[in-house]
Amino acid sequence: MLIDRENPNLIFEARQITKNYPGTCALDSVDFSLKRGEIHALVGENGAGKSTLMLVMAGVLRPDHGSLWLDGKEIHLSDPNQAQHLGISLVFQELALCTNMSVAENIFTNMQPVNRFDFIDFEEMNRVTRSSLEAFGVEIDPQVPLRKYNLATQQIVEIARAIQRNASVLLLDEPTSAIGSRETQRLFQVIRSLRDRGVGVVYVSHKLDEVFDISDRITVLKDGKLMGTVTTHETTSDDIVRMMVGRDFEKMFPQSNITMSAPLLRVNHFTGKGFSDISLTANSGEVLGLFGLTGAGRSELARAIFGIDAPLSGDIYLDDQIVHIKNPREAMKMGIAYVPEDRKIDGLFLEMSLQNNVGSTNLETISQGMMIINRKQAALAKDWMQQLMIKARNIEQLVNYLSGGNQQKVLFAKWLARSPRVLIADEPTRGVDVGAKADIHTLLHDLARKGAAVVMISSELPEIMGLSDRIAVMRAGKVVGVFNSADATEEQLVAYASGASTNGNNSYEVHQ
Amino acid sequence: MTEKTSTSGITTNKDFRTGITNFLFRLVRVREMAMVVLILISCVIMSILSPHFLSITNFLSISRGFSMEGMVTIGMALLLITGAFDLSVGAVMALSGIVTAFLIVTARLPYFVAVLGGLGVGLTVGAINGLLVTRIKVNPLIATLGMMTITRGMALGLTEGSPVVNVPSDFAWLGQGNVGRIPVPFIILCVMVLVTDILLRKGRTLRQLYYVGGNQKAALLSGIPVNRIILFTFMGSGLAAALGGIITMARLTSGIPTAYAGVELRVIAACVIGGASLSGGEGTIIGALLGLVFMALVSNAMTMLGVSIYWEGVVTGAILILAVSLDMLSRRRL
Repeated sequence: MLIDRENPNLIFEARQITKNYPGTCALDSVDFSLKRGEIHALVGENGAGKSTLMLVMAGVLRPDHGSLWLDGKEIHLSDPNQAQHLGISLVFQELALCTNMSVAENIFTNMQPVNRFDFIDFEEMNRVTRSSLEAFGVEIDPQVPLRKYNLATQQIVEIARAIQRNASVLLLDEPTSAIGSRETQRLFQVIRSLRDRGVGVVYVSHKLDEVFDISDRITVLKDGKLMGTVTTHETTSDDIVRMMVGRDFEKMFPQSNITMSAPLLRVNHFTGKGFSDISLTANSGEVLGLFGLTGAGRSELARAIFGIDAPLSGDIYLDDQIVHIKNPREAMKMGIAYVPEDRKIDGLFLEMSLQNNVGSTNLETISQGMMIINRKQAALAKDWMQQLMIKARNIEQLVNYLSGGNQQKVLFAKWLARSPRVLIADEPTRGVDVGAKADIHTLLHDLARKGAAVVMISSELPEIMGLSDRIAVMRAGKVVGVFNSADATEEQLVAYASGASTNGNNSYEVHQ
Repeated sequence: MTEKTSTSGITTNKDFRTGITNFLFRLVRVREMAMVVLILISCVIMSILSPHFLSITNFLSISRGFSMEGMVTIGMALLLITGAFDLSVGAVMALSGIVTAFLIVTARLPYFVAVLGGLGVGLTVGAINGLLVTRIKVNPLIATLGMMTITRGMALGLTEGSPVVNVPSDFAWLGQGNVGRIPVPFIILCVMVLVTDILLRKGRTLRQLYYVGGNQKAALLSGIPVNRIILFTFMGSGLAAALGGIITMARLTSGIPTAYAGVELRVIAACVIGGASLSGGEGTIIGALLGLVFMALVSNAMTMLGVSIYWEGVVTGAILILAVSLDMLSRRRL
């Protein structure tokens, strides 16, 4: 442990923070310290506990155990306002701004300067806003409603706002996820100048190249545990990647050899919003893993294939026949199924019964003429409830009241009942418990071995490594590498996905 | 504004110029200006079509007619800005008028106390609406629909459906009187509009309504007491409706249990025509009032042109849909 409890340079400390969620331990006795005038990066895989730690430090979440120390004094945070008053500001990953209000009014939310009549002093507010945004080198009119500006600008406004609050501890959660490299460089300049003024900055990012560019120290989390804290210039990205993925044990995944394989779904120079020039083939009989960071363009690719978003250019081939998919109905007719990432928003009818959910994608098979035959729907639902071992009281139960894992299984039942030839599953095990996870893994594996092409988008390395036959890695909208999973290493995948691998930047390598 | 000035002169002139273009640019895009232009155009058309239109008497009669709805519109605009709305305002107008009339006629209380009683009705209904929405998280549509039905039912039940009459004529001044030639209700409305509009633009407290309506989560994280603000806005809306109801009762010298049925939708329409949005965070008091003026003008015009009053709904509805559609189309281009 590298924490020096007596160091007067420390501005902020989290000691032995533990946070449990039902079924998982999000943080397990994690220590974290921040010096005055330091940029401290926090890295780890998805689900490693970075965001949880940030939320605890910002007073949004309360830890089960552990303490927070500011300037050598223990503090108890009950809400984010209190943290802000103490000078701890969190810039949220999803923006917390009022886009209907002017830029200046967003920066000065609830702390507007007033004149002697207690009227807001708009001139002063706009003047300060203009000068503080000049530091970022961006031209922003303080009086214009924020919604007129793009996400990158909004991100900068959110950071400017935290700075305006005189934060002595600035927590940045993936601040560059929505902005381009030019803005990133400007942002880094501002972060460095804040550091030079003595502000302590915690910087969470998936992008290792950025972390090495900006940080003084790096702390690595894995599965809610502290893996270590290192000084940036004394380490390499290989070391960090190894700390991020090093695992205690290999989990069990279904294993069997591919018996039949032929190209089934192929995209050629496929380009759309969020991805460009993708050429990729999914074979029958195999699970093709699609690995990458959030925002790498994987979901966008899947949505375009399934006809949700219109692609800009490129072709889709099914059985070597060019096909035009204009909407999900057409995709479904061709035997494609898409299990979306967010089951609650995109996947399920939460206020409807299990059988109605399963029936929703199978109306042709459960109807006769214009009428739905209840008996057929019930039989279909019962059949899939058994096959997928869905734990529900009966097929009448509302999906809303099932556990996350069982909801996910209902979502799969909806699509598997159509016997799809191509199944695209986006983060198929997000937020489900261990048991359901294993069931879903088996289900995907079996479906592939029966001759379907399964495309699995996942940010979880063990899942990608354990279940895929081949793995395509995406980064910034492009496929940067395709591997046979037997030959790939976790370090390699993370390096390609995060851009830490020098040859992974622009090259398209096929390791088959 | 030439370039042939000293260095310092150029900068000031440049600032001046951008200041003016900026000002004009913003003026044209502001919904209020569009409304004013629209109202002027309809006034011109009307004065050509009907010689009686452009008379002070006609304007004063229009102004007295919409003053009470105008008060309700202020409250509704505030609510819409926070992202809520109130269907119970019409019923509150009726009940508060009846309660005040009751207290004057039957209980023989001083006017002042009777008016306080009527205002209390509005404040109570508003508080119940606000508590249902903020504490129990009942959807505003359902909460205020329920309260509308209850309040209207009380107005009808207490009076057995017949008006409370015999309100003394000196109380009627509140609704019928003039200061100079200007109707008293219109003066009250103007004061209310000026105060709330300025406070909403510049006052720190009312400015918070826009944050709440724009992004409730962001407002909460910035330390704005979201629930308290929504509750107080509902109470303000109830209060404004009660005031409108009491003044109407004074104007008619009787409390009428069926008065103002359906006014809530007219008022919401006026706010939306004037720039408010049902999703919150948008709109101004002046804009909402101009929306109401426009609707009143249209109905006045139809009367003067001899169109049956029964057709009014067709025109008002069309205007509402047109205003919102134009707004959506202009936004899409941005």
